[in-house]
Amino acid sequence: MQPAIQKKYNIKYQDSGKPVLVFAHGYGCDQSMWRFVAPAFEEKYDVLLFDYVGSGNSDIKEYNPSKYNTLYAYAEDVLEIITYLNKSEVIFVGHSVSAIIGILAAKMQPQFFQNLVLVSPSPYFINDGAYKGGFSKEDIEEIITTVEDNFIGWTSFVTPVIVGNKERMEFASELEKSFCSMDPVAARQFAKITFSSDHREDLAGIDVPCLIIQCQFDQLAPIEVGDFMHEKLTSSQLVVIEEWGHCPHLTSPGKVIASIDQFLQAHQ
Amino acid sequence: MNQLNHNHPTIDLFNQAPCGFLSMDHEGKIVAVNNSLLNWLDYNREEMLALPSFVHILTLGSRILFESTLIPKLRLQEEVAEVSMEMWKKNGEKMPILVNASMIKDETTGKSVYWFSILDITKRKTFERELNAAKKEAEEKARQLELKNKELERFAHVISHDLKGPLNTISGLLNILDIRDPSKSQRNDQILELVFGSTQKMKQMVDGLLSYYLLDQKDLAIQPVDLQLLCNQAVCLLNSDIQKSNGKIGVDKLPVVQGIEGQLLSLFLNLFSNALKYRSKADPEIQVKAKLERDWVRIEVQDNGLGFEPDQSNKVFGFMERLPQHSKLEGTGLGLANCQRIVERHGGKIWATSEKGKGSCFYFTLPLPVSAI
Repeated sequence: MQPAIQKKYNIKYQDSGKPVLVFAHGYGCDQSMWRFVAPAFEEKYDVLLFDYVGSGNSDIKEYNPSKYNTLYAYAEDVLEIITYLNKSEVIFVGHSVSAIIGILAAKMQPQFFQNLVLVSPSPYFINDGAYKGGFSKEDIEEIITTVEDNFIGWTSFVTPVIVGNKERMEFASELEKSFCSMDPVAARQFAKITFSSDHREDLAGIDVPCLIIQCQFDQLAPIEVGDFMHEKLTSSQLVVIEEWGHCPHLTSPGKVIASIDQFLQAHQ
Repeated sequence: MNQLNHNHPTIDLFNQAPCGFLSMDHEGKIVAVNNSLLNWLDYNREEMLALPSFVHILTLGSRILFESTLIPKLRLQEEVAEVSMEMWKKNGEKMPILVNASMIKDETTGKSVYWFSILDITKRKTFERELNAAKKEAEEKARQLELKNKELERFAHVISHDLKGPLNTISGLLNILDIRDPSKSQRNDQILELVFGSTQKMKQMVDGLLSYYLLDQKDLAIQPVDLQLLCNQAVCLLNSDIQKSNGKIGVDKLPVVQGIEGQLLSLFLNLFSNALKYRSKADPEIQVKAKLERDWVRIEVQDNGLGFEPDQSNKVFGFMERLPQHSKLEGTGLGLANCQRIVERHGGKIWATSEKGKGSCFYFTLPLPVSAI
């Protein structure tokens, strides 16, 4: 792994010749969201964790708003990471928007992917005729405003001015850099493309065997969306976890580990 | 009025504290809530505990933030501070809130419970929005100031170079002028003619600069202007130039727009005289067309002149900017910069397309009077 690539995506990875399991975080968080799941696979796999540019501890200097205006840019980044691994193929585990990023990457370079594990995926968050994405078009603006309030609102830009000196500012940002931190500009743009991109058409023609993990009661990606994914992805298997929320890998890591493990064993 | 229960000060504090308290079980259902929050949202306790989930009373954007960031953070670090969200009151109004939250693992059941403390930040939100708006405004002003500074730099550069040129010529010519020797009167006349030519060039440049800066005057009357009449007026004023170059200007039907008459006349004069000046070998042919687009009109001025490279299309509007291929032709680099300022002062946009050797087309938009919409 080249140091430049490692820094760009804050990659955590050790090559010991085992099959590679790539974990990709969803919107609003970073690689730390896999901390209850990833360690369970370290014995059998070389686990790779990374942050998308603009999220976590990635290199923010690499964030170019004109590049990151579609999910394809993120899919290309995934392909860049895999290319640098110098492995014939990997297993990709993506949460929420990352599941779709994985699909797009597999569409561009299917030979890189042995399997895809899609945790709480949604190809489109907006209702469209019979398709129930969960939200209306007008809702998207409100989502952006809330993101702005939290990432660009007073909490992130007024405080440093009041705190004043640079040293203390660094101290403050060190405190803020806990889990799931995001750059304000990236957070806004990533929210916009995550919640308004329609990738339903991209599900067709994906031959890589996929596992879809769906929570029974998910407010962001309702169960109908999981069924839709399963129907469109012809080589997919759907596992519904009796769980509330959008992040089963955080709320029920045991069930998620078991589902992934079972699926991977069957596809070895 | 809140009633105190003197035997249970802790319960009083929980229920009547000046902030909202709420707890939620691992399935997202509300299990406890204090009176303050119930009062703010105008619910009674039974109604709130019967809601399918806590996210039910969050607005949509907040719900997404809750699911995608707040819950993951809580699972990872067990507490989260100062998250800005919004809640629905029962009457459909939104209430901006600031949330602190923590996650507690219930050892007996092994399930997690979430606790939230909630502050009503309606007033603070208003200040915050104003602060944000002021910040945006300050950024915009800083951007304009930077543009202005660049313009000034360019201005100083042009003054020192372009005005110095004819000035040097004048002083050189005056040096060799010999008015005491009558035999040199013919030569002197020639010299004075050259001096006059140079002063004219300087005057043209100073006039151009003056009119460019006069565009900033704020008290000019905006009124309905008949573009058809105005365009014909511009053609009449340029009549001798048109005759000299054997050119033709065709004008289609143009509407009445909302604008400043003198500036719009100057806009057409600039565009026409440019088209005549930067002509190709063919006789200049200029065509003016109009296209109505909702409450705007888009005017096209097409010529068959020299044109420019497509990548120079922004450069042509630059202040005192001249294209290298035009350096031999007279010009101040102010004409199109003026046009851009005029159109922008009217709230419109101006742009150009061209292919070198195939003429160019200038487009601009102007607002229609309200009655015409």
